[in-house]
Amino acid sequence: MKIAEVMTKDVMTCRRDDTLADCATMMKELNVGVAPVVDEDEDLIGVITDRDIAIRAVAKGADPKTEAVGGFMSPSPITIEPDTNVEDAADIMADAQVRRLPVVQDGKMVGIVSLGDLAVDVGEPEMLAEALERISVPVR
Amino acid sequence: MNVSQVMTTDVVSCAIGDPLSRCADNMRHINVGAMPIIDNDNHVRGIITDRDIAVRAVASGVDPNQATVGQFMTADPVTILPEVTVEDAAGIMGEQQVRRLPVVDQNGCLLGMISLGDLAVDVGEEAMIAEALEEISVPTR
Repeated sequence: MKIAEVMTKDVMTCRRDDTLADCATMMKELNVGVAPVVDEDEDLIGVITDRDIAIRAVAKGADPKTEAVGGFMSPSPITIEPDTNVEDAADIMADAQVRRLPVVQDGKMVGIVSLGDLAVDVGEPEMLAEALERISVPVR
Repeated sequence: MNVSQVMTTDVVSCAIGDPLSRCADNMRHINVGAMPIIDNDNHVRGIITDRDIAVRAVASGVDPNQATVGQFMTADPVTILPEVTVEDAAGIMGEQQVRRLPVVDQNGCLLGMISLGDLAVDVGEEAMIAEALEEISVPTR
């Protein structure tokens, strides 16, 4: 099975100049935990998560209504292509200890896939359990 | 295997009146995503996650240095007893669509925390883990 069959398309993105509060509102309305960040050409330049907003901004006393996404995102995120196998995608998530991957074709966002998507749509418990284990092992 | 053998003890908790910024800083410092909220008698009164801070508080426009944990926590959360089996724990997480549970004694006092990640690392039952993750991840609207 390929990622193209499992991924979410029509992904909402945000810009580096959006405020953290705007980004959090988008995550709330869409019930997601990650927002890909794109530039004016719609090229992917980063990702930001609900956790990033809490840990990188709120924890440091930043004002989310004035601070911008660009200062708190993870730049140069790991991405995959739509024809990647789901097993390889789970392996990439495990290596990087992330639960979502932006799906990119020719540099443009075409979708996003999460470990949860793989759990719902792919019936391979061993693959999923191993990925979750490798993601969850503390790294310090 | 039961919850007591897998749970994390020495849990960092916070109080209802703590500012969100301090709670977030604790999460950052110990690298967790959920924090139980206890009262003066160590009873679990709520739970708050990094996501709650972002989508409940930040999205609503409050100042996180002023707003308190109590305003945005989930009150009276689902908890679990230490003698519960890991299989039942995974089942509860799936039903409730949560990835962590505070572990409490018969009086509701905090003993530890257990997460689906803990189960994945310490319990070699792939089907149980995968099923829990699936149930947690199915959108419910």
